[in-house]
Amino acid sequence: MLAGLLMASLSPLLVNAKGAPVSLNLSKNFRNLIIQGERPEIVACMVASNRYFKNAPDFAEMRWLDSTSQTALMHEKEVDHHLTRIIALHAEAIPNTNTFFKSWTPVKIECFQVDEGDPQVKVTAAMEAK
Amino acid sequence: MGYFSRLFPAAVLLLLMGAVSFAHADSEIDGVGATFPMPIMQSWAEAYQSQKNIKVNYLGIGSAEGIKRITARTVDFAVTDIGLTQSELSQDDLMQFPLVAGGITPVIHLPGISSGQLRLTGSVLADIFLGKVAYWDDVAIQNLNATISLPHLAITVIHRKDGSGTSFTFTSYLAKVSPEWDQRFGIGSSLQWPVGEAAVGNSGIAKTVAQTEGSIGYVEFRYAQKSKLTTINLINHDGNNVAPSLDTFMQAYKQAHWHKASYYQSLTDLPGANSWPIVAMSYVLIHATRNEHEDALQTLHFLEWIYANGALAAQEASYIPITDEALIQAFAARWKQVKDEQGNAVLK
Repeated sequence: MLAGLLMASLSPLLVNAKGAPVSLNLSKNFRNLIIQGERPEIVACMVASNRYFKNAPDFAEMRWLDSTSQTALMHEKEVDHHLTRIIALHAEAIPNTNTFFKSWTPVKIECFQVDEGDPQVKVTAAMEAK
Repeated sequence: MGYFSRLFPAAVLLLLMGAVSFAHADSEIDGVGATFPMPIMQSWAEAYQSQKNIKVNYLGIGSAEGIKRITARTVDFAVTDIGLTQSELSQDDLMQFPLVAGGITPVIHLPGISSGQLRLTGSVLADIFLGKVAYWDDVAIQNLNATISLPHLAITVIHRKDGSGTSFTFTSYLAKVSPEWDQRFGIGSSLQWPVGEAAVGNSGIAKTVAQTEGSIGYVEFRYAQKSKLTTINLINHDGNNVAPSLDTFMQAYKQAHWHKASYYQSLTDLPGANSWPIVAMSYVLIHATRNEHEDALQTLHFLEWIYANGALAAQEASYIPITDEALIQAFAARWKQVKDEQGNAVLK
C-alpha cells in the first residue's frame, strides 16, 4: 500500500481513456510497420505521425489503438495529374499539461500527402477514438 | 544373370538421373504478392523456365503480404496492385514498375441471369456493398434493368479477407462514385466492410460466389472467365453501358500517364465512351540494393524478358501488357541503378 502510494507520487499517473484496448506498438519505421502487417497504404502516415509526436510541444506521447489500421480512412484525389492523399487515423496521446494527472486522450491524426511527397501531419482532439 | 543384364538397370538409372538434372532449373527466383495477375505470372514463369532454364516461383498471397515479404527481404520480387508512392518506396529502398493492367469486374450468382444481362451504376453498386440495397429486386436495381424479372432474393456480398490490391482498386472506384462510401470507408486494401462474407484471394471470391446463390463479389476478369461466373455491365463515367472486356479495359488504360517517379496510377472511373470503370495496375517491386548479386541479376533478367517477350501471353489472358518502348527504356535505365552490397551495378 505504502509502496503503491510512493510509486504514484513519483511518477505521473497514466489513465487509459474509457478503458479502451490499446496496442503497445513500438514500431516506428516504415519497414517494421509493414512487417508487422499494417495496411501498406497508411504506413507512410503512421511513420510521419510518429515523427510528429516525437517533436510535438503539445503532446508528451502517442500510441496507436488496436483498431487504428481497420478504422483508418484514406481518400485520394487526382486533379491535373496532381495526386493528393488524405489519411485519417485514430490514436491516443498524452497532452503536455501542467496537471499532475496525465491521461491518454483520443486524437484524430490527418496526413496530407501531395504529389508523393512526405505526408504533412495535423492532429486534433477527437471526441471519441474509434 | 549376365554381365549386360546386370548393367542395364544401372545404365537406365544413370540416364534417368541425367534427364532429371537436365530438366532441373539452373537457378530459381522467388516472387510473391497479388493474386490479381497470378494467371499471367504463372504463364510467364512457365515460358521463362522453358526458354531460359531458370525457375520462377510465384506465390499469390495478396498484395499486402507481398509488400510485407519484399520489405522483409525474404523474396526476390513482389507484385502488388496497391501502388506505393515515391515517399513510401524511398523509405524502404524499393523500386516499383508497372507490370500489367487488367479489369476488375463485379460477379454475381443470380438464377436465370447470364453475363451482360444485368447492369448497375457505380452508385447502386456502392449501395449494395454498403448494405443499403439488400435484395435483388430492390427498386434501384429494377429501375436499371426494366426488361429483366429479378427475384426477391437477399444479396450476399462477398469481399476479400486478406490485404488485397483488388480491394484497394475496387474501393477506390466505390469512393469515387459514392460520397457515402468515400466518407465512411474510403479506399482500403483491407477494411471493416459494412456487410458480407470474407474470402481469401481472387480465387476464394470466385469460388464463394459460384457456391452462393444471390451473391455478388469482385474479381480480376480472368478469374471470372475461368470460373464461368456471371459478369455484369456498369454505367461508366460518361453514362454509357459497358461490358468488361480487354477492349474496354484498354480504353481506360490508354489514359495512364507516367510522369510520377513511382509510376503510380489510379485507373478507376475514368472518362471515355467505352471505358471500363474499374481497371487495376499491377506493379513489380524490387530492392535497389541487394546483397545477393546473382539473385538480383536473375530477377532483373526475368523483368527484361517479361517486357520484351511477355506481351502476347498477357493479351491472351485478357491483361494489358506494358509495350511503350520509351517507358521500357526508362525502366531499363532504373534497373542499371540496382546495386549489390559492394555498391557495384548488378546489370552491366
